[in-house]
Amino acid sequence: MNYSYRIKANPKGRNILIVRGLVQLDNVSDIKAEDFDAIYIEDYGQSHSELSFQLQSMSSIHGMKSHLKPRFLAATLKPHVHQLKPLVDGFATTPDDEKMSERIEEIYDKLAYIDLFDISEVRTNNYVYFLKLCKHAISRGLYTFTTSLEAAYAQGHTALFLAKQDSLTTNMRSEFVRFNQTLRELGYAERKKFEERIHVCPHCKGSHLFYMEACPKCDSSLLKEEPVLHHFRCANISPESSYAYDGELRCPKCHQMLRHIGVDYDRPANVYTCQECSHTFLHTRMKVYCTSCQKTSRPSDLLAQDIYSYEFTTEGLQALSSNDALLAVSKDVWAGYSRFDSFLSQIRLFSYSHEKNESVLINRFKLEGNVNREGIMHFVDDLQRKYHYHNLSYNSHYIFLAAKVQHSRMETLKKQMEEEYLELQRIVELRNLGTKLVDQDFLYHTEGEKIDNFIKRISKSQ
Amino acid sequence: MLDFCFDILDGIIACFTRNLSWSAVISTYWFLFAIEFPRYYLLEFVIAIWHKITYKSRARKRAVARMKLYIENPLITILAPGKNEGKHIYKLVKSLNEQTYRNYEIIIVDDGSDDATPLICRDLEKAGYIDLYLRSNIRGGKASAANFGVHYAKGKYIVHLDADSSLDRDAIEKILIPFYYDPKIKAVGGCVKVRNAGDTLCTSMQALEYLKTIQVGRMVTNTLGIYHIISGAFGAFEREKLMQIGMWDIGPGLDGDITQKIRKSGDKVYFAEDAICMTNVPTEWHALFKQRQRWSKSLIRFRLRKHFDILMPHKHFSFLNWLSNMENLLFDCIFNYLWLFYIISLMFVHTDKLMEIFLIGWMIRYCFSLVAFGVIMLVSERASEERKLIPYLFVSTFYTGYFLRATRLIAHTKELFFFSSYKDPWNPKKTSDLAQIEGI
Repeated sequence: MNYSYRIKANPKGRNILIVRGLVQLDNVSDIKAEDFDAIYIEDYGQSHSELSFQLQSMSSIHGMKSHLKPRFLAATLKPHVHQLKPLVDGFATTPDDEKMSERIEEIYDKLAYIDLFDISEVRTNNYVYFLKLCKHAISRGLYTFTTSLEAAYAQGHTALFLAKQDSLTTNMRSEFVRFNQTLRELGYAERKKFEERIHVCPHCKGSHLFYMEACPKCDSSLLKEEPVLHHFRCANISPESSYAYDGELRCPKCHQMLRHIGVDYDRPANVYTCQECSHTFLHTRMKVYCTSCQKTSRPSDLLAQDIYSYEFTTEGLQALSSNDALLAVSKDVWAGYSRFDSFLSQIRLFSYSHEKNESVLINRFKLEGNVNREGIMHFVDDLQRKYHYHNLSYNSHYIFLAAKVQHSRMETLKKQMEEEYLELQRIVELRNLGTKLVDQDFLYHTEGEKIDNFIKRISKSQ
Repeated sequence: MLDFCFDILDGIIACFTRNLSWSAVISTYWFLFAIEFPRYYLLEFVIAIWHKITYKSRARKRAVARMKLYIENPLITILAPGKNEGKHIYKLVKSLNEQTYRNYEIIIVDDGSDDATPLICRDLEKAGYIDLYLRSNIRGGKASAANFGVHYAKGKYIVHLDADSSLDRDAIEKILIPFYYDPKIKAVGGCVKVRNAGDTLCTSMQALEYLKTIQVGRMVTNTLGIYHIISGAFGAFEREKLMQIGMWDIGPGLDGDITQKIRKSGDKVYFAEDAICMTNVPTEWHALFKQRQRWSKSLIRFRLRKHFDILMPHKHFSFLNWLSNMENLLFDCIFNYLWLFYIISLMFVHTDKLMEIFLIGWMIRYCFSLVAFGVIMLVSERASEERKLIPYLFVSTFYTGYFLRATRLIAHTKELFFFSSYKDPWNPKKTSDLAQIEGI
């Protein structure tokens, strides 16, 4: 393996980026997005996890340079792909493979109708993330949300091509559900058919659940189950162990030997004894342990979730292909990154719709020092992941973290944000990014203040 | 028809005016005067008076025992075994919830029910109304169900109940008190009364009978130290003692059997006449007939056969146990045959005056029953409520004097010659067959 990547034109004139080993495309400055049209992974690095990492970093969602571009794998890697299959457009024996070339053309035919996202933009908020999934699906001619039950995912099913992207946090999952609803409300997608009803954890909506028998009194699972024996002759009933005598069954009451089931004795029940609290019972209580959030629930507490398959409508296909859908679907999004103009619109929107005792608190600080745009975007992306519950924006070296807050909790939140800021300062220092955080201050919308004034305050003070 | 009635009336008048002398009455009704009156009326009257006289000393004794009970406050187990009793369980636990004695656990044993009992009981267990629900998937009989429960019981005392019974709110407390009179008392029987008295003539007659034979009758045998049956419907046992004697054996009549076992082991049993349990009794005569047949057969099966040794001199001979069984055998079995002989002889000797004899007999019995009712009124804790049964005394002669006697006679004969209790479907065949082979 003497090289890790090269670019080669295929018979149709498309440039194929041939990758061998682990390459983090977005970090390689030699390769620009316009240098290649498709990716062909010839071999993976040291392990399967490297292949998985490679595919995810080059996916339509995470990869910037590879955004929506076709990607293929060498046919020899097929057995190693497993659950990552949806991230791959196909398998080929060589980069010049005819079928592969045709598939690339098919994808480009579809991409011609799709407005790509600006690849210099960060991953931005969750809705953009979901929209990227939709665009990917449309570019591959998948118009149906092929929902199916999959054991490999914590949520238990692969709704909306979420396959292999299962690092969704709980917060993202709930947004994802809302996203689906919004798509339906906007008429972009419609339910095609009912697939299944599953039960998920009430705390984290995960479906990786263990059903365990437990003591109805102390909830311990350390149980001993033992059959009881009924000796017909003397009407004695007691656990089997009380009959055990020198390898035989002998009645503890009348000392007769038990020879024949149905004639001398029978086994009318099984009795459980809890080894923790010594409670005896006939019926265990079921408890459900969620492997995702490690919480225990009762089967009756589980949430029933109907799984439907969805289909994009014509209107939906048009809106999702262009970037029109972004504004429509994300108008009520709060958490996540927004461009500065959207950020201000959201603040304005909030001021019209907020509750009486609610306000918005903005933690603003400046990135000072020599740092390029890409570095800033990486930093913002990190921030977004870390503080996914805040609304986040960036504008001319200023970073804004905004949170909705009740008036009574204003001071507590301020303290929390101050601590977050100090933590960030330390992280920036440790990472040695060539920059530092300065000029932290708080802005909040006071009761009675005109929203335009507040917006001006946010923008003007920079 | 009218002539016939006048003939009888003339006969009675003639009887009273010319033929009736004390000697003639006594010689005709010797069975009534020589056997029934001393045992069932005179003795009970005397003991009831004695009971009244000693009321204060007994009350003091009871107060001390009650204090001891509450100082120790032992956990007790309330055990209700049964088949297809689900519909009664909620009512039972509600009545237990009202008890003055609070430290108890409830165990319900389901002997292979084939109705909704498992569902009901599991729900009640989940809701915390009962502490343990045990179920035999295969029916094993009442004894095995009760033994199943005892095995998992944690209480010091076990109160055995029928699932369709309900208790006075102080019944548990009162059935436990006698354990603190004497450490030798290892089992206490409660007083069973009829809940559905007044439903039919049949239940009203049984209500009267229960008052006389259980509340008064057992109070008398208890005072004499020959109390011999702790009702399956309501009885309390020391758990350790129960385990020691091997708990219940195969029935029917297992309540009498276990009382015998405790007495034989040298310990005492006691009757708490004030610990009241109410139960529903059969409303139809044929059902009552079947029930009494079953009960009566156990006298032959257990007292005459299984525990015959009590009647014989041996190393651990006890006069009171002998007397207890002898009294039971004599009055409930042997004298029944004597009664049959007496009736037949009356028929042959006084063929022409049968109707007169019958009517005079009824009058004498009616007088006796008034005395017996007076005794009931002396003993009962709810005399005013039970007074409404007085009108039924008119017909009680037919019930106790003829119906019950005839039923017992048939049952005893069947059991003596045909061992019919072993064929009773009340018990599963598999257990009855083995019990017959073993002679238990």
